[in-house]
Amino acid sequence: MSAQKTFDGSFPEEVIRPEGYVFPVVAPPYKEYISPGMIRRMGSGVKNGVVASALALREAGSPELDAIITGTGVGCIKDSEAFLMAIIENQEQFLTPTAFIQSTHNTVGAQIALGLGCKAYNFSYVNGAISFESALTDARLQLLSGEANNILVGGVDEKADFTYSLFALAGLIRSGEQSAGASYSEGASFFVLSTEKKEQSYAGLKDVAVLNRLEAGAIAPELERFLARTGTALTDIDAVVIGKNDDAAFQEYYPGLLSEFSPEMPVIHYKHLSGEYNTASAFGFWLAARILKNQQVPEAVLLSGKQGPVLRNILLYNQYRGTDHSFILLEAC
Amino acid sequence: MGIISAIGDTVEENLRSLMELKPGISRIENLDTVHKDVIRVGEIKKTNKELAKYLNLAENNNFTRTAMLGVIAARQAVENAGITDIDEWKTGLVSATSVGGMDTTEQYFTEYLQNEEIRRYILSHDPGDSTHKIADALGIRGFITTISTACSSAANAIMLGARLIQSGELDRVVVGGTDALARFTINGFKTLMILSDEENTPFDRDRKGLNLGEAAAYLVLESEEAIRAGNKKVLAWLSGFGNANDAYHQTASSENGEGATLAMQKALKMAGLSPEEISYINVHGTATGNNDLSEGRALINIFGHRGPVFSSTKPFTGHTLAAAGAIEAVYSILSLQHGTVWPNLNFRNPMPEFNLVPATSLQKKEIRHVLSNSFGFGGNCSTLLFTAADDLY
Repeated sequence: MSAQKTFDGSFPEEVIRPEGYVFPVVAPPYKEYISPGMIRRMGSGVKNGVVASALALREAGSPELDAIITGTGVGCIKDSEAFLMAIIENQEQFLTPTAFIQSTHNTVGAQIALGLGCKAYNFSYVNGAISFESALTDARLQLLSGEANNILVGGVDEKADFTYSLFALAGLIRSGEQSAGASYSEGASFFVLSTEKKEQSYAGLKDVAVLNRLEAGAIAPELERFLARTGTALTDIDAVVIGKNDDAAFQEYYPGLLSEFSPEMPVIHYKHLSGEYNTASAFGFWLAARILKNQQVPEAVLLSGKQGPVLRNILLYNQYRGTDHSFILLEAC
Repeated sequence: MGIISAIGDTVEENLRSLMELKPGISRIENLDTVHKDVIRVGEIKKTNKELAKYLNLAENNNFTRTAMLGVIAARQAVENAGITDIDEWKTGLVSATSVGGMDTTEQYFTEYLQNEEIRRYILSHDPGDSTHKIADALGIRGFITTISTACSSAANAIMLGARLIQSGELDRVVVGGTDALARFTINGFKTLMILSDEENTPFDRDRKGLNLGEAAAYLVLESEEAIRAGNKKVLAWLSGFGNANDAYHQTASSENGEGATLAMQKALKMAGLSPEEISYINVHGTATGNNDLSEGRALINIFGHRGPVFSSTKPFTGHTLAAAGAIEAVYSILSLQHGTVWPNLNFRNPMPEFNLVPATSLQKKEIRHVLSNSFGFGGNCSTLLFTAADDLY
């Protein structure tokens, strides 16, 4: 689920050019996936998470899950905001529990488990821009150790009017052409990671790493250290997906990274279409996986360079306001 | 280990309060709430000003209470682990929190619109904010992340930490959780009608609900290689863990305690231990009608009606939400180190559904393996198993 028509496969053939500085998710037909009673009770992040996970599971052939691992930056912020507003407005009186119940950060993962009746391992990571990558790291370690064979992993964030207005005041969200901040949105991306390659598999996850702090000047050695973990050379990389957004600040990391590659290297961006949000990098992950499967870089996301004859390895790099850096390496399968 | 809770600012103070049976449940003083004369809480009797002064924070800092408590406990843990050079080994941080910087957000939420001066706090609401501040205070650069699975959060932080060590991703990891009292959670639990107006009485027939608490606790997990190379004293081994989902209800536990049973089973299997080998169980025991019944049934599922001695330490600290798993990990390790079972204060009568009676006084005995449970909203069930330091090594 995203600000693009990703849920029904219309994207990238059909591209929506978002307007304004905060754009909403293109709502899927929720009632095809969730009962009417549940739709009313669920927050938008939960609904989008439930639909995205259902789509991922269907495509993967509904394997038995050994874990459900979710990443979310702001969590169920709308319910959280609603409960807090009620506390403030009613001086802590006459409150009902519904919003509080739905406000905990693990509600998405919990509701997915509840819907599936899945009693397996269930974790929720909430660390800003590496929330999704934390989930991915946990999943990767469990698949490598043999503890798990099939894991549902996802990233989900929802927008909330008041909180987003505070984000604009704090300079996170753009409020005008000249203002600080980035264009923001929301979304939910879910994936099934398996130890076994299947016919419908999109790509292989080779590695993932996160870093809380990194100087812009130190990005090249950090990239080399990351690639060395899997014995991958810079020349093995066929495309780079970057989490560049439209904030004028905090962009100094990308030139340092890209200077490691030839100017011909296809550089792919996506936040002009997905918007920024804490788990927007999961949209980038979804995009990279599709590119590897289709062996085709859509024009709408190609920032520079030229696609070569074969796409084997794609590097993803993201950071948010100079913190929470992440590297992911995907390979064609 | 490092800890700050309603029963002490250090590991030693917490140990003394446990030994002397001194609970930390009181009336709330540092937080303005209309419920202050009704509820009882496990509050740390230090104002935000005092905490900021202790940490030498600048006047214009944007530390929430959650972050300050976290930094205090995490620093202690690193000091107590004898770490002087954080970069000597590849070190990470996994921290847990339930509502992040809500303690500050709820003070300023609508005032942010008018008052530019306080806007620096907007970004400290994010759950990752306290984790970043702790990492910066400790000088950790690399893998840091935050877990929020309601009241099981810190137990899960300990699990991920173990996984990161076991896989070789890290050599050393600081794990734990921090949560400050907030009107948000007080009112949330109040609407669910699970806050007691008396001191909490886990596993008691007449239990009326929980007392909320605030605390932070962190532990340093190290790889065997780092321990050997540094000739480090091991406090205890994390010998197993298990996580399962009850998949029953968003906030209530299933009547048969299925999720809790699965979590304990997984932990025992990982540790290669049979139920008979467990010396003491530090139960989740929140004193809500629902939790204690569900957890009790799960205990019977695993251990039968005559299982090992068990107790809840929440009458000492209150329920410290996302920090609880780490607080109780510290108490489990203290139990192993001192051969002592902490009493389940305030217990009077067993529940009618079964004849489970917790330890009601301090008991001295040989303790080899302690099982610690933490459960949370969203069906989250977590079990940790700690083994005496002289075992296995």
